[in-house]
Amino acid sequence: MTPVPRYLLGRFAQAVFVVWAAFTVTFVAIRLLPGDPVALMLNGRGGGEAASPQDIARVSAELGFDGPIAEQYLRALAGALHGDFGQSIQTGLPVSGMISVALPRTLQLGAAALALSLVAGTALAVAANLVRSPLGRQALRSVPSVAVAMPSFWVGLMLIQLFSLKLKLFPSLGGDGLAGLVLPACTLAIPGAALVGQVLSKSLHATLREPYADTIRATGASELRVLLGHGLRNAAIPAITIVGLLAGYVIGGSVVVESVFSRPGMGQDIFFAVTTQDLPVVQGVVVVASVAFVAVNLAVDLLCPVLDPRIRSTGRQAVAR
Amino acid sequence: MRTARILGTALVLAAVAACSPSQATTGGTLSIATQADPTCLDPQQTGQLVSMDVSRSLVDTLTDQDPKTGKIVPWLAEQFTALDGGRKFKFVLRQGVTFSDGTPVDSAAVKATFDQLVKLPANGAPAYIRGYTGTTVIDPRTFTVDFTTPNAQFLQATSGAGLGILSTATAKKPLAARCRGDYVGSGPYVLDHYTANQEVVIKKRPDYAWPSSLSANRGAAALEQIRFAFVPEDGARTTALRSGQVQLATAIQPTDQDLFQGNGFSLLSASSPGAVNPLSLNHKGILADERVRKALLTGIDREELVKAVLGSRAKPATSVLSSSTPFYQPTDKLRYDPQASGRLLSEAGWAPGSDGIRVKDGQRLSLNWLIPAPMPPANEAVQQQLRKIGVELKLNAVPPAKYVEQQSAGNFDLTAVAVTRADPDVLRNLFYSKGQNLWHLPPSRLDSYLEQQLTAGSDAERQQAVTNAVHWIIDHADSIPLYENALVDGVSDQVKDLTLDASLRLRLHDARLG
Repeated sequence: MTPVPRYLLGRFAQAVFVVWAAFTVTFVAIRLLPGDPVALMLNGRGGGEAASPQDIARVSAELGFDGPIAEQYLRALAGALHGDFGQSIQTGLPVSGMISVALPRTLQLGAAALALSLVAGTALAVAANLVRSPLGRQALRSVPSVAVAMPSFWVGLMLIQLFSLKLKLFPSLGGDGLAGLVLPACTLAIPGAALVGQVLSKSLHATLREPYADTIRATGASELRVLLGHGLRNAAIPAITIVGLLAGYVIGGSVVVESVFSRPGMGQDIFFAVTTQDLPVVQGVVVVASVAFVAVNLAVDLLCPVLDPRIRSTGRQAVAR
Repeated sequence: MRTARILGTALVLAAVAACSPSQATTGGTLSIATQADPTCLDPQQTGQLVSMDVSRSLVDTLTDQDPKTGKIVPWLAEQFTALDGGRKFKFVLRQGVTFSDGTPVDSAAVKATFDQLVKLPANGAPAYIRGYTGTTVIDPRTFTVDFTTPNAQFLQATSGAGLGILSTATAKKPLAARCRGDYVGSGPYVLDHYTANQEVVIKKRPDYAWPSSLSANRGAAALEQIRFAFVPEDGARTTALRSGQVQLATAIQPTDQDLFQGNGFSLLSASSPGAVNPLSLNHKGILADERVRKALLTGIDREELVKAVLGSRAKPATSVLSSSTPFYQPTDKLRYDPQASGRLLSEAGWAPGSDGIRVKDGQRLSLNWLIPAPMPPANEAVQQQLRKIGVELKLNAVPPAKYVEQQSAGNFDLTAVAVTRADPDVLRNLFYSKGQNLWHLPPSRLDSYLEQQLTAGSDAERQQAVTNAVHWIIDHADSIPLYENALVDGVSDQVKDLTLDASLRLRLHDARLG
């Protein structure tokens, strides 16, 4: 077997394990929470009166929440393998249907935020390495720490205040169309851009001080050409690895951002499902999110050898300089 | 600028006047930001207010209730009478009414609706027909509904969406499907779609012609469709209304209400009928002592509470029932008197301790207030007020799931449960010791008062029973009434003729965009 497929196979097995572990941990964690989700649903609907134990037991059985816990787990796992997560306790809708509505919206948001993060982060890193004045350089280098420190719910509210209420450029509810995507994507992109900017800026700084950079400069190439034509590609590996982490951040951040902008999606679904202990929905969303997370990381792992031949030849990541 | 606007308004007025007055603007989509996903649209299965705002427009009811007088008036039933001392109710349906699937609204459909309702978990609308023995169809338009014992609250219940009339075929549908909106009513709107965690869209039924006798619009709805977007964040609803993305936002917080007085907006507001917002007292533990309960009753400064945190729309409680509830009579027993509280607590053996909190046999006078998160700001104000009489409240905010569990298990001294319904029978939901009795009231004469108000043969008799019950509850401090809550929605001036029904649900049949 050639090294590349073996490397691939190992990564793939890891990915499957991560998804299974996410499923199992969620199942256990939700079962450990106090409270009965079915009682919660029935009580929530009562006009001030609580449901009787008989009603709770009957509805629990209808939803498959009876029998030993191990049996329930195996039933849920078998269903999940077939893409069937059961039905939501609260709404009675099939979970797969809810996800098929919510997933494209969150993917849209996540992809837009990720793209914005990369563009803004790269621009920041390039600028920080091009600026000659020490003061300007220092200022640009501090931008990431400031940006990371701003909580996204606050950023979201500020953007709404400015762009929805004052300038009336974008809607404050991020439900509809492209215009509704702009503010949520910007909010979600800021910490990611900061992270990319910081890592890439450091790595560029190191790369531009290597002997080969001096060699290129000696041929008379401008600093911009050294940076964009040669430095960026060599400095990109750590930043691209960061993208894998960013995917996780974007998935988590969507919970806050979708709430602030009341944008329907996976984040809203899981927020509501967790507060009402809607186990099938939590389970479904967690599995889909973990699949997305491992898929992006797998893609990053596959991309690195393409960019850096040193990883390709050994099947391992090159030691960072 | 100002002149231009006035001129513009004048032109619009002139244009409107030129049209025939009954045929004002029609069409358009009304967008509403509501505070939660209703999760279930079936009025028989849920009593949640956000859900009733939608289902109210999809189903018609036998009767309607006049929000001003509390009187029950005709809707689908053109005649209704109580017989046999309130054990039997006879209805005559109006002619020519159809469900949205084309089948007629007849006695058989009413029978199927109630026969199904009585089988459901008895914690929402089904509780209103407890003791139901059946519906007897006399002819397609005439029927009687029978009960084992007199049921004085039944006629009021027939005006609520919970007892809305559904098609015969609906009764056979699975409950989960009905929650998603798969049911058929005869209302002015029909469901277009319901997407969980996102929106419900309803559209008008063009051939609708049988509105409530209270409705100004006698024909089909003016609006083409209505979109309810679920916006749980208070701030996001406010912003959506201000930026013009929606024309109505529900549950505007006291801090934001001033934004919508003028500036092209107004507040649609009404005092919630039913049981007022109280401190609900667990009659086990420290609060088993009536003197301590009475000390809490006089230890609350209701005027101050309303002024400081609740805003001008709320009102200090003057009874266990709110002033907009039928059979409400004010009492003068809810006075602020901290000296009296001090005396009562000393009598009960609670002496002032070193840090101001009273103690008895080494035990602090500390009460556990179980609160479903997020905690409303009024709770802290109550905590501060009672601290002044030497009572410590531990604010125990827990996730809603845990709240329900802990409340059922009785692990609390205080909760705060109000019930919105325009009928004094809400007292029976809360204080009947033979009912669910979450607050562990001992059996007493109160039980018979609550039974009497249900079985009363006349309004005078019912009034007497309600008054007796209210005074008993206050005299024994079985609950500490705090304030009358108000529903406050923000509405753009583009929306015309939008009103609330007696249960404070939106009456969207009359509404239009101008």
